[in-house]
Amino acid sequence: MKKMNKIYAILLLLLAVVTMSSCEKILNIDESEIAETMQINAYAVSGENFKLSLSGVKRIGSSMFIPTIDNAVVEIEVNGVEVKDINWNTDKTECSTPTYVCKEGDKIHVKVSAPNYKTVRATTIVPASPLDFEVLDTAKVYCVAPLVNQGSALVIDEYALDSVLTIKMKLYDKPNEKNYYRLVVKSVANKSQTIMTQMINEVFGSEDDLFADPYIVKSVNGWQPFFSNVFDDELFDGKDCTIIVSSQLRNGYNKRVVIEYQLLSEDLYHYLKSVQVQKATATDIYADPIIIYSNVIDGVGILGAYNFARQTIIVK
Amino acid sequence: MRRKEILKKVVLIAIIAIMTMQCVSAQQKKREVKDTAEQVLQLEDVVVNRTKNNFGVKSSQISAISISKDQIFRQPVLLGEVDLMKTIQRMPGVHASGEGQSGIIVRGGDYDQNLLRLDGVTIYGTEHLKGYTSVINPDVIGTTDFYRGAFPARFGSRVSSVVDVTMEEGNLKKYHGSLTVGLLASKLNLSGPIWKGRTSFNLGVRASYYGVVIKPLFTKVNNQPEAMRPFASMDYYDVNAKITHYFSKKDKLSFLAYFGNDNNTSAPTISKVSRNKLVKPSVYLTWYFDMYNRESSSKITNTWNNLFGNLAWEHKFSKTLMLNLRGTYSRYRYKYLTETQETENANTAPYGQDGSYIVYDKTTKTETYTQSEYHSNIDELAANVNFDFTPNKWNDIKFGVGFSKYDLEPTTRMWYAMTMTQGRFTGEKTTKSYENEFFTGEKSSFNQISAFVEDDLSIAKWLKVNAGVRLMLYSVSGKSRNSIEPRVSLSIIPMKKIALKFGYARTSQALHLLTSNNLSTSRSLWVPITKSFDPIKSDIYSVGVNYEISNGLELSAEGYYKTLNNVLEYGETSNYEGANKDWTEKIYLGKGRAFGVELLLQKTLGKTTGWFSYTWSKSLRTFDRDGMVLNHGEEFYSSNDHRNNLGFVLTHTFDISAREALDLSVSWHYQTGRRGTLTIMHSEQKIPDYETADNSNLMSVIELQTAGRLNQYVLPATHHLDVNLIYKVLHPKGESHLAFGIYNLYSNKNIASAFIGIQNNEYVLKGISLFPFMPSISYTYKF
Repeated sequence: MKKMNKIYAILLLLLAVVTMSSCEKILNIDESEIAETMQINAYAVSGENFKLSLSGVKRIGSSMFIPTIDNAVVEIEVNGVEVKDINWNTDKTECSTPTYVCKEGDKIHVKVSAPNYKTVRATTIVPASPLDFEVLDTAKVYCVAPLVNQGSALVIDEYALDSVLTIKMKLYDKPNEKNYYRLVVKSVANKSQTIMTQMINEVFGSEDDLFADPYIVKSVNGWQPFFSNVFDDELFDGKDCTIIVSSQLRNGYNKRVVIEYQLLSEDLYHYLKSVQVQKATATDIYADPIIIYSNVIDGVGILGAYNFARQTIIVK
Repeated sequence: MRRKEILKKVVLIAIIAIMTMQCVSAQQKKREVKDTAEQVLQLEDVVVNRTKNNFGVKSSQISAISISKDQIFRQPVLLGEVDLMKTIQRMPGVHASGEGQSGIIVRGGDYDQNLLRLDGVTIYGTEHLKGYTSVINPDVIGTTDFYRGAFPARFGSRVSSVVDVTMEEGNLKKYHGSLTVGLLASKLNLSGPIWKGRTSFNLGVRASYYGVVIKPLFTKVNNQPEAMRPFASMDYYDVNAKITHYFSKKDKLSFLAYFGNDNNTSAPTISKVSRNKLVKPSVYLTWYFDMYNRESSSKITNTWNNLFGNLAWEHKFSKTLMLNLRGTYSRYRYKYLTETQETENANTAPYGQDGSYIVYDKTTKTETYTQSEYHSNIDELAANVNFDFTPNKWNDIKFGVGFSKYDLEPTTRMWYAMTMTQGRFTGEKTTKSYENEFFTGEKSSFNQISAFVEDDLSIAKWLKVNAGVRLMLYSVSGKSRNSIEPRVSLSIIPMKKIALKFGYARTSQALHLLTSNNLSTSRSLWVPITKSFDPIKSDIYSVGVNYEISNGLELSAEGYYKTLNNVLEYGETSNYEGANKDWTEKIYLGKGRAFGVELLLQKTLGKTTGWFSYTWSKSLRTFDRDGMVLNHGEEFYSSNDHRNNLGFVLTHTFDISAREALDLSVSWHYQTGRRGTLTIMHSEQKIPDYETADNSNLMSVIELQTAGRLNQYVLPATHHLDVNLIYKVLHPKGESHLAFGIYNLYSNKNIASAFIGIQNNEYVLKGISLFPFMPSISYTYKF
């Protein structure tokens, strides 16, 4: 009798364990392939030295630090000629070419090898400079003095972003070619008349269709949702386009807004798009997983290139 | 003491049951024989009834299996939902499209490369309830032939498999029927004469009530309600009807109609963040209120339905020549809608009355709404004229022509709206709002003309061949393409019980199902060939051996190699670029290959039946065409790559008494997990940034997660042991079947889907196991 009771108890326990078991399970990720994956972020900007940064990657959820690679061999070729003069930073994770300055049309090939990592390769071409843009008009709104009480005196709040500068500008696109752009609008101010330390706001907004991006479904780091400053020429192919952007101004001294109109290599365009969408959808379980675009063979990351036109607006 | 007595009684009953098995068997057999005889009697004058094909040693056909209704009904399945496609999944060369799903993946092909026909009509939406069960109602089916290679020339338009199902004709003399009440759905089947001896009907109706039984059960069993969100609400119903009229011994007209509808809504995922606190940033700065809240929710609505029918006339010119004239219509409608809504409200308000602290008097409220909608509509109108000519006992010649017109409408719509209010928390505010909408896709049509001839030829006792050719002509606006498709299946019989078989088939396909490569949710659009996109073409080579160990026990082994050309995948940037781009601008064309070996040991006769099947396979894709490069042009595993698949099904009938019998079925199934693209890596990306201090372009650092390579992640293998017990009782006017089933007896956590979740503030990869230990019960009354 006692034996039967025991059997019943065991059966009931088993049933309870089985039916109340969790339906969610943390899945293992095979780290062997991830462990030998090298990431490079390298950029060729017209008029500047070539820069390259190296690192490993880790599996998501890993409590380890992202592995650093400090023993890599980097080979850089420009138009088939090896660039031998390479400067490394102190921890040997970033390098640049002190004597080589990137210029339009340069074909740059990079090969990086390091022990325990797959050797990676990538190629890019520095694009031509974009057609210059025009600033047509500017207007400042919300000009409320953001003062704070500092001791007995009222001083400018250096963290405030109250005033907004709207900028009307005209962009141009070169005809007969597919072009990819990024618009950078930064509000900059110095901390004081004597201290040159800058305060920067890189976030800007616009209601123009040029920047409309339905994949960016939420606001990330203060950027407005459905907005991307990375775009192609589909809406103004070979033509001009008038847009209005607004930038919240940093308060301080020597207030200015710097605008950079960048013409991107196609790979860099896809890469930046994928990064922006990934940031906006990372926690949405219904969203498609984003493979961060990469032109790095046998690795991840990007070898990108761009050229730019730049203007500065002084804000009174 | 009382329990001991009960136990004794149970043992006694069991002994009596075993002792009476043999006499029950005799009684039941008698009745079965009588029933069959009646069927034959009433039909033998006028009906040319198809019987189950035997593709064994004596057949010329390789890579084919005939599935009996009995096999389907006896197999243990999830939630007791008897299903044809789940029986096919246990066959060699076939993998389930997902855990608990009824979709099939055949020999490394894609999901859309399987032709499912009911009485010659193509079915597009082949699943109910997100795949828990297929659209084929097992109550109404007659015969099922499944081809996974060396397709006879009469079949075309799909490159991986053909599931050719016929719907049973109604009884011409008596009314029969069955009513089944199950956990997931109930079914009613009625069959009988409309005009005795001349006209009959067969009607099958099914309706589910997932929300009543299964959903509460799942919610109880699964301790993570989040995981059940995609399955919050789903239901289906379908109706099959067939009317057959015999004008004479030579002429028969039949009409088939089907309508089925599915509705699935996921519950909103709601996340909330809020804070409300008084802050004093530093001794120099004043107090202020920080008030923040953010609420977001998203949900998915997925509906689809099939409507199809046919009108077929069968005429016997003579004993050797028969005509089959058929007109068919098949309509498919699919809608997939995701909706998200987010409100973010960030306010700071000054604490105290000093108006100089205006800097803290701020408000920003952002409301966003997003809708993504996918529609996939198909209308197919077809007419076929087929002849069956049997001039002598060595030749069975089939030939015919067909015409099909396809109208497709794969469309997408993305809409978003945003309202942003900014200004003073206590004073002036400005509000701006805007919305935007993107439509893509348009209606497109194409025509398809086909002609075929095949001969099933017995050249000698030791040599049989089914050889034929199929000609396909595809015509889209402004461009036509053709495909000449030789087919051959050859059998050499060196010994009475051994056949060596070889097969080759070239096939083509003009329709593709574009599916998101997502292991958590998926959406699908049927798209046609266009001026720029050619049909998929495939060549499949098969070689095998069949060995009849004894009567009803057969062993077969096969190897295959398949090539695919013009297969479609979404382009690398398709899920983050080009919202206003049509699907034609988002897809890439490539090629693929698949190969494997298959083993099947099958026992079809006797009280104990069953089969053992094993498949080892590989499926790969290469996308290296100009402008259509995936994975840097290197070969990668297809999402349908499954290395191992092992299935075992055993059924035994115990005769209990003259009126009672017990069918016990046990099955075990192992399958390598699905492949997919998942976010598995964490990296530190350095983005080019303009540095204003020194006018240089430096790199700013952001950390983010990234998916690995295409289809890099393999979900854990799934395996489950299932048991089914059917207690059958004969009544004076009918028969009762009470079925108990247990799916996944040892409650293995089989992962059905995966997603990125957060645990202890870290991103982790989470898998959802939907079907642990799942008991089921159903009752059927047949009359």
